[in-house]
Amino acid sequence: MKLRNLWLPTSLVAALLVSLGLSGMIWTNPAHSNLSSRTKVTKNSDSTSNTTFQDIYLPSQIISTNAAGKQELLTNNRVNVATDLRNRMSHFTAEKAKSISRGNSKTYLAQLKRKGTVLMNYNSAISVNFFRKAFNNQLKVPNQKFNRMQFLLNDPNHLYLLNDQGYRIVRVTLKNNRSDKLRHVLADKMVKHQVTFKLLNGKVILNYPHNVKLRTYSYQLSQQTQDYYANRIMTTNSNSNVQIKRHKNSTDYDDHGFRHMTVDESTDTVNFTNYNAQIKSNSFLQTMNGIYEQLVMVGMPLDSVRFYSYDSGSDTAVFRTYAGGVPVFDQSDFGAIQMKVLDQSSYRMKFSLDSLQVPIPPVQSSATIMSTNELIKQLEAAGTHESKIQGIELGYEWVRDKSLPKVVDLSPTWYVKIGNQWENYRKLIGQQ
Amino acid sequence: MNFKRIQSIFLVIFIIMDVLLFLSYNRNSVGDSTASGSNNILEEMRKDQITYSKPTTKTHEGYYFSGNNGNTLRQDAPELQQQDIRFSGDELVSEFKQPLKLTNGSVKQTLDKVVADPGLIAEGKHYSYSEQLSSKSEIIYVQRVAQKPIYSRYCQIRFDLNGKNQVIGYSQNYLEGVKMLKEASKTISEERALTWLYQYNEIPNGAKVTWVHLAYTRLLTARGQYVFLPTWVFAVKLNNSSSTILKRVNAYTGEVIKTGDNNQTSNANSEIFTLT
Repeated sequence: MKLRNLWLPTSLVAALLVSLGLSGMIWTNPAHSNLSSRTKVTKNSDSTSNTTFQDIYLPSQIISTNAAGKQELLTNNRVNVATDLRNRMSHFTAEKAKSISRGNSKTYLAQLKRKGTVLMNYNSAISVNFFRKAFNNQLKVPNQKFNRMQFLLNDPNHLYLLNDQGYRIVRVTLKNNRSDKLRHVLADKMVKHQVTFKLLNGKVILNYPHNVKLRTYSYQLSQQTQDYYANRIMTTNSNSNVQIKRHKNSTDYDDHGFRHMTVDESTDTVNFTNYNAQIKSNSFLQTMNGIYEQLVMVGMPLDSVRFYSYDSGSDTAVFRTYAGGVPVFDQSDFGAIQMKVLDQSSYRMKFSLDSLQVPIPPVQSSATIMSTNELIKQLEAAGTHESKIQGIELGYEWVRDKSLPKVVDLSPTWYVKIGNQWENYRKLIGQQ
Repeated sequence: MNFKRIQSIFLVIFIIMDVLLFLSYNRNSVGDSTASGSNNILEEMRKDQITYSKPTTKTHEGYYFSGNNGNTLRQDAPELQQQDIRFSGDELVSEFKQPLKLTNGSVKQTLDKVVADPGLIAEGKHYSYSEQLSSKSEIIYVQRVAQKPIYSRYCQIRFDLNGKNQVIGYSQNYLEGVKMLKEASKTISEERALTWLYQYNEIPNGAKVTWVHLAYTRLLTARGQYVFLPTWVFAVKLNNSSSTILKRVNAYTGEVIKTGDNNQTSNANSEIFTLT
C-alpha cells in the first residue's frame, strides 16, 4: 500500500533530476555552445600551420661568455639553438626578484660581459608573463619588462633579467633549476662567432671584432596567390559581397564592413585591415597572443618566420624570415610581416606573398664580411657619422638569383639603422 | 486525489521534457563529431573500406639535405673482389663470379655480412636492409642519413636473385657530399599525413595501406645536386590488384608530392625503384 503511494512522487523526483542533469550537461558542455564551436572551426582551419606561439616568439640571439670572458654568438647548422635551449632548459620556479642597478651604463655593460654566462636576447622588451608562456616556465615575479635573460653556468639559483631601456638589472632567485642541462646544450658542436658588447650612442650593440664568415643560403621561392588570401580572409562574413576593384598595379578587396585588403602586384605585398578583431589589451602577452592568432587566421606560411621586434610607441610588431638564426632583410621594406595595432579591435597587417620554404644548394657555401670597426670606419669615410647610427645588425640580404628562376639567394651583410630605418651598408657608402 | 493527479501530470510533462532534452543533447554531439578532427576522417576512411593500421600521432624531426652521385664508387671499385664490375652512368653494376646462396629466413643475416665487407661492397656501412622495398626477385639495401633511410633509386644497393634463390649480382648508387641545407625542423605526424593523403583523393575505396614509413625522398634537383626532404611514404595496395603503389606526403607541409618529369602522378614508384 505504502509503496503504491510512493511510486508517483519518487518517479516525479527522478524525472526532475534527470531533466536537471541533462540541461546541466547541455549548458556546461563547451562543445555545445556557439562560442566554442567558433573557436573549434578556427582551430581546424589552422591545421596547415605547424608553427606554435612558442616557435614564433623565440629569442633572436644566444650569446655565451666563457670563464675567461670570451663572448661568442652561437648558431648551429643542424638544430635551432634557441629552440633547443628552450626545450632542454629545466623547469624552474622563481619567486623573488631584486633590482640591482638602473641607469648606470657602465654597470650594465659589465653585467653583459659577466663571465660564465649564457644570454638570451630579444630585440625589444618582453614581459615576465610573456616569457612564462614562450618558455613554458614558472617565473612568478612581478610583471616587468626586459629584453635579455642571463643564466649563470655555475650558479643555478640565480638568473638576471636585463633591460637595455634604462640599463636595468634585476636578480631573480630560482628554485629547481639545473645548470647542467644548459651546459649540455652548449657542449653541442656549434658555429661560434666572437663578439663583444659595446655602447654606441647609448645603445647596446653587438660588436664583431674580426671578419665574420657566415653560411649563404639559396631557397626556392614559394609564392602564395592572392586568391588564397581573398578566399581565406575576405569571405568570412557570408552576408556581404566582397567588392573587388582592379587597378593598374594593385587589386582592392572590400567586404563593406570590417575587412579591407589591397594586394600590390608590383611588390607582391598585401595590406590587410581588419576592424573586427580582439587584438589589443593592456597586457603585452595578450597583445602578442592576439597577433599570433591573427597570423594563424590569415594563414601565411610561418615555418621560418619569427618575431623580430615590437615598438610600443607605434604599437607595431615586426616579424622576419630567419635563416640559421640570422634575420633576413630586404624581403620587403617591412620584413616578412608587419602588424600595426590601431585600437582594441582593429589592426593593419602588411605581409609578403613570397616565402622561403625549400632550401637548395647555394652557389658558394659561405661568405665573409668585415668587422664592425671596419664597417664604422667605412661609413665614416662615406659621410655617415657614428653619432647618427641607431643600430648595427648582421643580416641576410634577399636577392633574386640571376640564373635560376624563382630562386632567392641569401648572403650575409651589414644592416645599419639610420633615421629609424634599416639600410644595407652598401647603400650608405654609395655602392648600391 | 487532486494532488495525485497534479503529480502525474507533472510526471508526464517531465518525461516528455527529458526525452526532448536527451534528443537535443544527442543530436548536438553527433553534429559536433562530424564537424571536427582527424578521428572522423579516419572514421570516414573506414566507411570507404580502406584498411590501415592505427597511425601514430607522434611528430619527428628531419632535415632538408643535398647530395649527388659522384666518383666515390669509381674510386672504391679496384678494392672489390670476386665480381665483375662495370659502370652504367654513376651506377655500379656487378656480377658475382660465384652466386651467393640464400637460405630462406636468413636473407638479411647473409647479406648484412656481405654488405659490411669492404672487399665485396663499397661504402657498405652506409646502407641497411629494407624489408618493405625488397621483393622476390630483388633485395634492396637503402642508404641512411641522420638515422633515417633514404628511399630513392639514387642511393640503393639492389641485389638480383635468380630462380634458385641465389644472388647473382647487384647494382649500386651512392649519395655523396651530403650537406644539410637547413636546421632540423618538426614534421607532421603519421596520422595527419594519412588523413591528408585521403583528403587529396589519393587512397581509392577498398584500398589497403600496407605500410607507412618516414623516409627521405628526392624532391628536386638544383645546381646539379639532388635535394631530399623527409616524407611519409605510404604503400597503397589497390582492391583487386596485386601491385602496390607508393605515395609520398611532404612531412613538413602535408602536400602530396607528384612524381615524374611532368609532375603528373603521385605514384612514387619510379622515384624509389629503378623500373625495368
